[in-house]
Amino acid sequence: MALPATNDAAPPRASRTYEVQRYSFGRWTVDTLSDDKEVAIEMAKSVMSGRRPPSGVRVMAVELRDDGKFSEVSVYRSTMIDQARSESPPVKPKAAPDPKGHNETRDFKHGARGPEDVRIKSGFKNLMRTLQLAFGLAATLAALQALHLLMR
Amino acid sequence: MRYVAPIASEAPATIRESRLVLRVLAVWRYARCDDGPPRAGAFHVGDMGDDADHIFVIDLTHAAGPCFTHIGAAVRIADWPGERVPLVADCPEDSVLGLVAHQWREIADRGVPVTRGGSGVNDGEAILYRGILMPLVDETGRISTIMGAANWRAVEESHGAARD
Repeated sequence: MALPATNDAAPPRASRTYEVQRYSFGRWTVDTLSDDKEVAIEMAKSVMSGRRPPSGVRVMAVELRDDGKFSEVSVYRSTMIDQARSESPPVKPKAAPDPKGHNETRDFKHGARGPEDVRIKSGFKNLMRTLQLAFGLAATLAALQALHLLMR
Repeated sequence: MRYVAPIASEAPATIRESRLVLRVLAVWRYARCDDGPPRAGAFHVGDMGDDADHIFVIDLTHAAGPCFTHIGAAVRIADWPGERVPLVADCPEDSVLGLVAHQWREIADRGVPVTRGGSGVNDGEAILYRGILMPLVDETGRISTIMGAANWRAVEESHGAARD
């Protein structure tokens, strides 16, 4: 862009500049510049809370070294995932481990059965005992009947 | 260039609680259509609501050089520019307006908003200031206008009076 010539001297560049960069369409682009780290981070946060937040935002501290090269250090970074994580309710803590040590035992004895299996097996055992008792009672009654017939 | 009367800002209410440079930047961001700067014709001083007094506008396309087309009441300089064209180059350096506006070339070069602060003199008193300059484009996408905002506080002995 051709700008009109003026007698404005270019302002002295700050030794360190903070670049707020936004990540969109697969690349980082400069969004705003600041000479203050705190202001730059506030700007970055406002980018993510804006109307069309990008996939991510970061603040780079850019410094011109004595050898004429620029050094860049990231001082803040936030992504949509971070935003979603901070907005979601805290993760419900897991229940404390069974004090009887059932879970620990199961972790190491892979063949051990769970509480559901134990409950099913217990019910089957009760049924078998009831049947055995019924058969035994029937057999006893039959034997008594036979004895009674023989004694006549 | 003419600016219309203030209109109700549709910017989120939360930006009202932040510092001046962030508030005006939020309005600037809200006005942009895509990732580029907003159109100069679609963005007005009045959009800044209560912060309009701290706003100034620089026209980069003026034949004589960048000049002010609007200076808010809070950053206005007494007895300047008088009857002359308010060129940015002529703006007194010992004013918060001059301290901030003289950085216009960096915005024209980079094409993004820039905020800078520091110490200086305004209206005869030592101050700490912070300003922001934001680019606006014409119909061709060229940066034709810069909108700026500044606030400051006086530095007197160990404490100063806040102006914003």
